[in-house]
Order: sequence, then C-alpha cells, then structure tokens
Amino acid sequence: MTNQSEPYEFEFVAGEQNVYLFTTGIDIKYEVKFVPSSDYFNAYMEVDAEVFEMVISIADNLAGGRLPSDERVAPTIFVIFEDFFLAQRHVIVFICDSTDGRGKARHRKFGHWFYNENVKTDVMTKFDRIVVDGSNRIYLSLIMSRLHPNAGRIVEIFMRMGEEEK
Amino acid sequence: METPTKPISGIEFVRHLMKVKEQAQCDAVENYRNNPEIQAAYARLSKKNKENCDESK
Repeated sequence: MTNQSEPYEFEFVAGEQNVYLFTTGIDIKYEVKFVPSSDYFNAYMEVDAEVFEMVISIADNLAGGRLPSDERVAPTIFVIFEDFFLAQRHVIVFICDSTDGRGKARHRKFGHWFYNENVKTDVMTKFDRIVVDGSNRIYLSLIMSRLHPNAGRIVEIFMRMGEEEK
Repeated sequence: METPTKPISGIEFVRHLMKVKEQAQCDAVENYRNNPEIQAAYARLSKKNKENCDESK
C-alpha cells in the first residue's frame, strides 16, 4: 500500500517563475511557483538576499468545492520547497489567502505542516507576521535558513515591514 | 539627470505580493487550460500516480 505521507511525484517547468507541478491521487492539479520578489529588500543595500514569493495554486479541481484532506500534499510541497531552496541565498515569503475569511486557519495549518516537516532537517526557520491594511488582515510568513549570512538583518526588515508609515 | 526611484514602502510591497499571488493563481488555471506543455506534464504525473498506486496494491 502507498505510504499515506509519501510525497507525490512532481515536475519542474523551466522558466523565470520557477514553476513546479504535481497532481494528487484524485487528480487535483497543483502548481507551486517561486516568483522573484527582491524589490523591497533590495532597498536595503547591505542585505544580500534573493527573495521569492511562494504561491500555491490549484490549476484544476474536477470535483469542485472544498478540497478534501490529503496527507500527501504537505510533504510534496515541502519536498518541492527543498528542491528549490538554496540555504545560503534564498529567502521565501508566503502569504495566506484571507479573502474568504479563512486566512488565519490557513496560516495556522501552514505553520503546523512546516514544523512537522522541518523537524527532519531543522535548518530552516519561519517567522510570522500579521500586516493590517485597512480592513484586511494579511498573514505573512518568511522562511529562511539559519545559515543565511544576513539572517538577522533580513528578519529585522521583515518584522518592521508595513510599520514604517505608522 | 535621472531622478532616483523612491524605495517601495513595506505596505506597498505587501500589496504587491498579494497581487502577484492573485495573478499566479489565475495563471495556473489559464496555463493548465491553454498550455499543451503543462497539460502534458500533468498527464505524465497523473499516469505515474496511477502506476505507483497499482504497484503498491
């Protein structure tokens, strides 16, 4: 029998947006993309970091409606993450969608699977923020390696992000 | 002389990230519908899933 937490196979699609694809046992098609997003951090010239926004999308869900629970999805995303991530260089930013009011739940779930998967390596570390923009609460995470040469400064910039105008 | 570009503010950057995410989610659906290379990749992955499932039975 297939291991319930075994990652699905995935494919990398060449291109500047670093796209990975996988599909589940019931053919829900996922796309995981790492979009170059260094603009903000580049303003701090002393920070040498390549920042990417990780976006997880559903390309097709034939059954429609809410996604059924699938224990193989989180390990697959984590394996993709590890395939892309270069510890000494990359910094990943992730936003949990809150337009349907479930952002907080998604943020909690994302944190849960990150810590569950990361326990195997313990090299990566995650920082969380909530940025309030008018009536929107935006749930943000930053993931980087403890070994990144500018780790402290990058975290400092991230934790202040959006507070400058206040 | 060129005027230096004003650095993007934190809140502008967060809004930019939100837009990028929304666009990426639309693009994923569009690519699946219209890009034969993407469709072929998903078909291969789907086939592998079925083979792995059959092997494990």
